[in-house]
Amino acid sequence: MPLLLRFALSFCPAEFRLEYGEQIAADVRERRLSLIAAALDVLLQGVLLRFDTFAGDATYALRRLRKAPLFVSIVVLTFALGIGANVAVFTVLNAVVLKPLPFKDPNGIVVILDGVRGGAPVPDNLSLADPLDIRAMPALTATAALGNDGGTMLAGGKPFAISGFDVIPEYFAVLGIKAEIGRVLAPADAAPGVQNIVISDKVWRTDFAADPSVIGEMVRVNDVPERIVGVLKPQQPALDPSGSLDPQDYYAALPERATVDDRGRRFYSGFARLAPGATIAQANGQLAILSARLERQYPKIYHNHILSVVPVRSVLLGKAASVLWIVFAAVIGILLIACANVGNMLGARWSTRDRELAVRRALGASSRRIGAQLLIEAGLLAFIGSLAGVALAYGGLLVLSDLLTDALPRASTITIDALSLLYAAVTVVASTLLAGISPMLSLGNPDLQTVLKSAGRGGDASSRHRLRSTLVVLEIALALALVVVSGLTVRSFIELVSTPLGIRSEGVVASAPTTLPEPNLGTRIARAVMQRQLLAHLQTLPGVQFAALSVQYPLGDITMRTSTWILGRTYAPGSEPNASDNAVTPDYFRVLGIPLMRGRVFTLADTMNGAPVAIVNEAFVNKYLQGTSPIGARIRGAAWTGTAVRKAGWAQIVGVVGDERDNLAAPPYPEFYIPMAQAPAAYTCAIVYAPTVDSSVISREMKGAFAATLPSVQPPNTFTVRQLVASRTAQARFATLLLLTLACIALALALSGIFGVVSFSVTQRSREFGVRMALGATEPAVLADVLRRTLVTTAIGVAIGLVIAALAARAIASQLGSLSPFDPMTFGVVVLLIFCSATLASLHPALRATRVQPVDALRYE
Amino acid sequence: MLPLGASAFHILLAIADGERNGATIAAEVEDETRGGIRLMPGALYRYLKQMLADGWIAETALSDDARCKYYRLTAWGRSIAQAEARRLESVVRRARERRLLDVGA
Repeated sequence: MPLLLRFALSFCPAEFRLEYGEQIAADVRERRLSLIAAALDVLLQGVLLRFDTFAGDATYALRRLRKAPLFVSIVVLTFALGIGANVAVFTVLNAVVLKPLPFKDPNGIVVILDGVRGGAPVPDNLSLADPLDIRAMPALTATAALGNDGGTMLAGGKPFAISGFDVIPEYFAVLGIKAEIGRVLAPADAAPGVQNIVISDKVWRTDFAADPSVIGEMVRVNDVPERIVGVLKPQQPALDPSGSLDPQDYYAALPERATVDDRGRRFYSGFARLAPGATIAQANGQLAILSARLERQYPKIYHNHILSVVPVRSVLLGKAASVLWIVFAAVIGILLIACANVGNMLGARWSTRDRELAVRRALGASSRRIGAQLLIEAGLLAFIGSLAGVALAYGGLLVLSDLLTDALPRASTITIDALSLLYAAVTVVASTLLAGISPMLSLGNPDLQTVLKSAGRGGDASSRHRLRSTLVVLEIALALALVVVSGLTVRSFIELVSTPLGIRSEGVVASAPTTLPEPNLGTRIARAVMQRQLLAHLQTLPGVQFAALSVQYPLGDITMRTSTWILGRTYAPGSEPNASDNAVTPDYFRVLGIPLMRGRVFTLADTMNGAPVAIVNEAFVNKYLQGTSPIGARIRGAAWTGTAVRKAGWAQIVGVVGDERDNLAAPPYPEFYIPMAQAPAAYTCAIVYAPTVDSSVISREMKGAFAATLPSVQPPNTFTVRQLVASRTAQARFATLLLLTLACIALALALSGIFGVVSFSVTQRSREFGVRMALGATEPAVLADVLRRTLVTTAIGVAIGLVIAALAARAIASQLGSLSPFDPMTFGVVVLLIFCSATLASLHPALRATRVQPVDALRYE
Repeated sequence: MLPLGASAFHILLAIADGERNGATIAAEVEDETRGGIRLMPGALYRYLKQMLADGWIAETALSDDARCKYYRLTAWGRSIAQAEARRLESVVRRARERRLLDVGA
């Protein structure tokens, strides 16, 4: 036979090839047909034949499935849960973690961190001068810095609230952001006296009616006249290295200044682009040298500071990525459990057809053919399940969208797209194979005689039972691991939310930081006057017991940490004092209920002209002032450039207060407070304690106070302490809720697996039970026998599961805060839970075994 | 089932008056349709296999060569072919009534 024809025939089903192959070759010769045309035809027919077989099998499977609606519903539901959870989590993972960041060549962007030796480096601790120095490093090209701004824009006589960034104009070049209309900011925009801004597409559409002539128009931002030079593209994400990609309404240019004062104002964040071919390690090497030079030049400001860079991905997405990979691993575990369950159900279903299959085999059907039919049945079920699963995923993502937005960066981009559907298709194929393997193995090769002799009870029941038990062992192991992981997450979450805040959680309402109008900024006195007026107004609000202003937000949204010196003390290199820095009005501690431990709080007498004073928290005393009386000690903060301390040199500690948390997951940080009157900042938060008034009423009144005292400023948003805690714990709550749900699904699937297998084995062994009871076995003995088997299976599953759980727990240790990943309580409770529920799941079928009547059992013979 | 595909009907026609082997069937169909339907061996044997499975045709043991099979119409196959022929006849009658064909031709 010509090779070409033989090749074409190899695509045909074996049956057809054996029957007609020779004949076709002979015909081609006899009819003198073109070999190529004949081979092509054979190839085509082969494909058609295979499709015919498939369509026949599929129709057959559908017809058979229609007769078993209960079986179909259970299997489809199982697959829908497994595949739906997978598609949903994959969709989130893809949108948040896998997709490249929406900027030009995102892998070359690095975030600049500033830290103190021995402390954790932070992204928002740069000065405006630092980018100028960093730009000179050969490993880094362009460098941008930005500060969060926002406030009120006044255009055409009407004010509206806007969010915005002050950026070094290179911001746009580093990220490759282009304007839709006009231009983006250029280095010339940073020159003194130039006031140019770029606005977002959203502002352009909502506040300027999408008028193209907006370019060149003058507006006022926080009372400063600015000229609009460009409009950005729709949905243009912004890069805020402290963890957000939220689009901003406007961008104003930051001046490039490098005076000593500027170096001390360290609340900007920055990022840079690696030079082509340069590595992070090279950049960090050069930055270490720069840091050392800066420390020599400006010892008061750069004392102990180290600049470094990290990939922007790890800063922006690092935490979300680790949470999402854990959840992704969990849903794959669920799919495996679902497949094992379906595998057992399919196996049980097909094993009752032993006689039919043996007869078909005897009549010439090949094992492969029967296997293919089984796979087609599994595939159909998986496919239907995946349709329901994708619908579930879609609904689930919709329901969870608020939670996702709170917990994850760029959550607004989460949609089920082509890649999600491709992933769904992959899970269908994978689950078909996984669910099909065990029943295919258990089809075995029973010959007709054995099967007929055993009167429909299955040929090798014990080996099949072993296979099924193996699957149940796997299910239990995976479910245990998942429940342990979720249990650990729940415990660490409970620890997180029950962390003492150090401040009162009821009756307190705080405003977001508000920038004071700039024209009046000329003198610090003007700021102090505005702050005094605002505070006076807040204090008169009905229901307000205490009111205060502060620079830092409760629970630390902006964390300013600064090198600190204590007069007359020296510290070992690497452990020099570093503290969180806050400027507050006298009633701050009463508003938040922070206890005074020693000394006094600030008074109205602590003014710019008075002696500089400071208050420290207990953590500060414990860490840096051990063994001496803190009251009277003199300290100085590196960032105190615009304060009364500057003249006096040192501030005297007059009081010690309790610890206020700025980070729920970490122990209290050393902190000092200075009177706001001695350091009038350019922005302020307002905080009031009004225990008897509803928080929504108080927030409205606070906004009214802002409007009355600062008419050119859009009143800020306000939050209760509860809301702040909720937003700080959103990611942990998201992970906890998700893992808990998944653990419940896993446990339910595993228990239904146990139930199914025990039921099936009781049915199979009913004759044995009948005989044993006829021979005098008691009901408890039969019950114990069934339960013992379950417990042995469960014990093996638990043993394997503990190993998996320990590995998984170690992998997520960094997410657990202070909780040990091998928390014995969690492990113990989960093991107990698994044993109890396994016993419960097998109790019903086990009781059925005790009710087998010997006569009934034997009657089947 | 009706209308039959053209190829299937011509195959049935080719063996209507006696058994034939595959090559002869293909040759007759090709002659009959003046080259309009040219059955390549792959397609031919797929048709034959399906018709065998459906019981329209049967194999006969006429040839000495076991590999060269002959096929004949079964009673069921004949009634299908007849039904298709009648259907075509009525189609032709309508075509005449609508004066698509010469009435006397």
